[in-house]
Amino acid sequence: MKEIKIQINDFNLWYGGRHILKDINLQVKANRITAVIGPSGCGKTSLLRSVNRLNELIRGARHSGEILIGADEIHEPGTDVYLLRKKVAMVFQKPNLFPDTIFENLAFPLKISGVKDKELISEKITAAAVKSEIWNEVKDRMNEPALNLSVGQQQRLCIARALVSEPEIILMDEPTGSLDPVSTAKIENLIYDMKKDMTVMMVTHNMNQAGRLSDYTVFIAQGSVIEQNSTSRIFTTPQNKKTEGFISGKINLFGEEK
Amino acid sequence: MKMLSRFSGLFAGRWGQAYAGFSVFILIAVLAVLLFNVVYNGTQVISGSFSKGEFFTAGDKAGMLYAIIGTLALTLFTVVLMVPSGVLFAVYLAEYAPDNYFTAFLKLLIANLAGVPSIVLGMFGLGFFVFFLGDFTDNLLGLKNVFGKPSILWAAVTLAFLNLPTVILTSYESLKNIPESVRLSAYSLGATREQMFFRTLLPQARPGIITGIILAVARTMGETAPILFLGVVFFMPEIPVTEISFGLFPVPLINPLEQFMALPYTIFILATQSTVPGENVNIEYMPTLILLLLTIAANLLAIKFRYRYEKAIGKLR
Ligand SMILES: Nc1ncnc2c1ncn2[C@@H]1O[C@H](COP(=O)(O)OP(=O)(O)OP(=O)(O)O)[C@@H](O)[C@H]1O
Ligand SMILES: [Mg+2]
Repeated sequence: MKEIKIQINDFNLWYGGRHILKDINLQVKANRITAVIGPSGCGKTSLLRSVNRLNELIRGARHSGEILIGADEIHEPGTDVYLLRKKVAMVFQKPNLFPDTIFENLAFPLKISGVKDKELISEKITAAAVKSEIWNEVKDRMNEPALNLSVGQQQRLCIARALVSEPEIILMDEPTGSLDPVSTAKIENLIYDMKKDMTVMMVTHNMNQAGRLSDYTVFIAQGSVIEQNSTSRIFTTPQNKKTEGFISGKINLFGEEK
Repeated sequence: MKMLSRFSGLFAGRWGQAYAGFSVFILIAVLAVLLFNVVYNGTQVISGSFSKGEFFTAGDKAGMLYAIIGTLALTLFTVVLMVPSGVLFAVYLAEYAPDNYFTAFLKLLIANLAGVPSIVLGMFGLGFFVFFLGDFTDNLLGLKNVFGKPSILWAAVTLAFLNLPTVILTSYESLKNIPESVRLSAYSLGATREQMFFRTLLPQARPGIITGIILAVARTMGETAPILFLGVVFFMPEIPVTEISFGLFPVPLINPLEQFMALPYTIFILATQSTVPGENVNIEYMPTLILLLLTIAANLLAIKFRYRYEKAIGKLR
């Protein structure tokens, strides 16, 4: 049995009066890829953003229950939320680089941590860029605007930027959702290699991608976890009819039955 | 979109296009005549006054130097009062103010302040700043007629109020126009609110904020009505200078508690109250040209910054 990295217990989330996540109980194993699937609007993004406490920025967001990373409950008073977000990195569906140079984008996480040593900065961003397989494409263009890169390159740069602070967990919200097949393949390879160093939690709308990449799969519908298991089990012998319907495509992305 | 399509429908068809073309033609023609007129006559008068050595003298001999200095000093004092407070207020509104009725009320107030006629604000400046605040300060300090009279200071305070809405609203808009994803991106990397603001929002909003400031400055330089009550004069024998000492170095500074000359007022007087009819009939072209050049310079700067801002924001969309 693999070590558990993220343990979510009886977690609920509300935006204002709307109950978004309902009694979530979930385990995410260390150094494994866990895919989160489910119809549009079911709360996948909200779940991911609960793990790095990004939901707190939404006005009127409340929660109950606990989320443990390792042995630490992340809502505990005294938790350094900024450190948490460096240890639990996030990559979004659309690349969201700053309109600044490639170098400044990569150096941002270090600069806000107060790192001044130029050699250390260049060492760390080089390592992250190499891991994200973007290094060869950007090493001679460090001072060019990051937004001049292609969308696929931008997304790999976002991944590199997320890796600069050497996170333990990386949350990926449809990381290939806005990319062409070639860029998608590149990023899938990256994600697969990331398992060595960290725990990956990935939202995807692409069932093939979930099946290809992930070790575990969580199926969510209308804010509740319907089923969680190893990916092979979920895709071959789902226990719940809804899961089966969703995976086989009988229930579409909007949760409607065909 | 609906509005737009209905509007553009107006310009469809042959007659519509002819109408639009005619409008553009009229606009450009009027601008060209204005520019040519001011530049041609202005350069004539300026070169004349230079050759007669009158440019640097004061008064109706057309010495413009004191009026230029007065306008620049007034603008400088106004900027010092208006820019920090305006930008900080915009930052508060955009980033910190809670989303409630009071904030909505504040925004409404600012939008309304932008609509107050400048002459009304000038009267308010005389009544409130000069007669109330000025006299009050004098009494407090045991002085007589130091603060309680029209001067650069109160003119600058009034002009700052007049143009504050421009600074606030443009700064507010440029902050609010930055997509939410930029904020989220910074936060997700572990930035604090201050780091997010100073390292990502401010650099992106800066060209937009500066555009607003420059437009406000250009308007400040040209403002005539409010300063009528607030210490502008047509003639001064010399510029009031006081020396303020910073440690060992005495720095000469224009005394903000004195009256001043200003280009727009000089234009007004020269154009309406010529003392020697016929002789100085064209002299007002000189301050007009100078003022026009100053405002055009400010606007060109603004256009340059706007361009940079659009480029920075455009790529995010
Ligand atoms: N900032 C917000 N304020 C209020 N409600 C929100 C906010 N963000 C999302 N919601 C609502 O919360 C619910 C869950 O949204 P969420 O984005 O987590 O879904 P999702 O599963 O990621 O959907 P998708 O597959 O379309 O990305 C939706 O009903 C959505 O309308
Ligand atoms: Mg989502």
